[in-house]
Amino acid sequence: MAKTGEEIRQLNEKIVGAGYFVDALRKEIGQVIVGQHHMLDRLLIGLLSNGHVLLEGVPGLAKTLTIKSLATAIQADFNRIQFTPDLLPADVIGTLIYNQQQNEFVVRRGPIFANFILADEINRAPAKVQSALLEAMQERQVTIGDHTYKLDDPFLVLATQNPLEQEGTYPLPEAQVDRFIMKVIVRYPEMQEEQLILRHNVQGERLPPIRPVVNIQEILDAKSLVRDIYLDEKVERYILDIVFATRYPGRYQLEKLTPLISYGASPRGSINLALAGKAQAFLNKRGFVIPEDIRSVIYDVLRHRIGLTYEAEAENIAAENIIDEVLKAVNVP
Amino acid sequence: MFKKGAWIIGVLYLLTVGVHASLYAQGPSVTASVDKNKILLGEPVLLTLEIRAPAGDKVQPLKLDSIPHFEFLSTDSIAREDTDGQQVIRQYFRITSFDSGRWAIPPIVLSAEAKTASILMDVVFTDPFDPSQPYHDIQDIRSVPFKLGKQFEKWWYLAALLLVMITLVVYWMTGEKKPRAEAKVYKSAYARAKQQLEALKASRVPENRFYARLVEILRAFLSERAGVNSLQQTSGDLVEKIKPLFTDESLYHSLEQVLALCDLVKFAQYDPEDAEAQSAYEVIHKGVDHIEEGIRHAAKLKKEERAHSVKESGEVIHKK
Repeated sequence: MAKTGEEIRQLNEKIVGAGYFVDALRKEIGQVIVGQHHMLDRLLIGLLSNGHVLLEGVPGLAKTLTIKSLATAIQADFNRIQFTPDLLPADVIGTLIYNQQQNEFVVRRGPIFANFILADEINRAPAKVQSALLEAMQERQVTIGDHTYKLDDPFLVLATQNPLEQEGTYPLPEAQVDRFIMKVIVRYPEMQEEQLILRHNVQGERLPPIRPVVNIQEILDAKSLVRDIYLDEKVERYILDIVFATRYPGRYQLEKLTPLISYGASPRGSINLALAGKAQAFLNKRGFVIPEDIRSVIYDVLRHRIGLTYEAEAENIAAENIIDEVLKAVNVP
Repeated sequence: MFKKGAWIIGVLYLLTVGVHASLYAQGPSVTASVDKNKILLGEPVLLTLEIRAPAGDKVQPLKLDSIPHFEFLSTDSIAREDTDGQQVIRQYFRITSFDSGRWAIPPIVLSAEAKTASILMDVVFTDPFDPSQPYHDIQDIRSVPFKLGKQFEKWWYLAALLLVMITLVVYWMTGEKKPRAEAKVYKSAYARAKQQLEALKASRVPENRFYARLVEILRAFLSERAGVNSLQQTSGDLVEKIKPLFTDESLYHSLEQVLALCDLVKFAQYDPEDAEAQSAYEVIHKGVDHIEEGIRHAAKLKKEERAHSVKESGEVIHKK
């Protein structure tokens, strides 16, 4: 929607006011989690842009603690589901249980009824369970028996995947992975950060409890402001150029990428790049999106949306390398 | 009695021979002939087969496709004619031989009673062969008839070329002279950026476009002159990249602010004051000058350093 300069200025002021909680959240969670700023920012982007985040990282990188802390800091409900091969869809969404005293079936809601869901090791559960979760993520409602229940708002699913131990797992199909706004790679902490972690744990220092710094209503208000953030046509064009370059590299003098890409980013890629760009602008307390916002989220938004050929895999080329080349070729407005 | 018996036997014998001869004369006959009996190696010779048979007899032409020491060149048409109650079939074959020597065309058999006589053929190298003559090519050298045009062909071409050249020279000296197209002058990235900035100042483009063009000029200059891939960089990245090119801290910060202002105009519909446009223009102008000066200074220092190191190494060699 076209906006005047004055409207954007007013929106900017609102965002500066409403976005106070971003720094407060970072500070509060920083007391418990050492490092992992990138992961926290991406969780906030997922929360503000109404998306879900797929986290990939080895165990022990404080993924659960970060999400739990975030839930506490925004006074939201949090549930963790450990995905296992014997998990059933009913274990996730809930089921009808027969009550002998009342002689009727009653609904037992599953752990999906919470604001924050941590779907731990999502690739360990069979396809039907993954599918039930992903359907709920997309539609934000579940049906148990004859009734359809709306899920809470905000509703953020954080699914984790362990890149190791792939034996006996059920990798998410491309169409399912595409439903996550971002795929975030959680990396090891820096040496100095790990030294701090070590001290906290070995010396038995008790971590301070997380205090709530923002309430759910404020988060919902922020989400509505994020939707209003101005996205200029030039930035839209920049997003489309990037996405199209992944589909048709030849049009952007990137012929060398053609044999490496089996499929480019989907239209959901363009949409999510714009949404994540808006959320990033919000985190930077801006009422409009600039190319920097797009570039800062591009790897997390597109890495799981670009299919690589066997040739690329044989040459150890990752989706990030493809994105690098695309960014070098597409002109910034 | 004996005489009478002998006479009867004689009559019977004559009768038998006569009947036989009469029967024999009525069957087909074949003859072969050649047009010459002595040929050179590979020289064609016409072999004619003539079959005679009583009219009404079924006689087929002979199928002849090989004769020892001879090659068949062609099989000509078969001629048939009927004369005096007889049919005559003539077959013509062109044959030759590449084996020197005396060879016989063997009898060609039509039936047990009808066959040709053999024909002797002499196949020779030369005719007559004279061993006393010197060796020479297969064919004698023949003289080529003299032709004027062929001998002087290249001279004709030279004369034509000379004529064209003379015509061109005459045209060049006397003809109307066209004004020469202005040669393209190569402009450096710096000169081009300055010229584009002047042109932008003179033009009356809308404000949004003015700021976009201002940044475009700076980006193009940096891309060409400083080797920064500025067209694919965001303003934030660009500011970081060009930091080492600035010695004037305040100018650098002004440029940083101008780029942020340009982003505001481009992406946030910001409507700046006229004074801001003038100030932004001057900062970009100064920035381009400053970067050019810095690059030239760096190049000069590098050149001097290289000359110094060459001189030093020369002195070391001299001392040694």
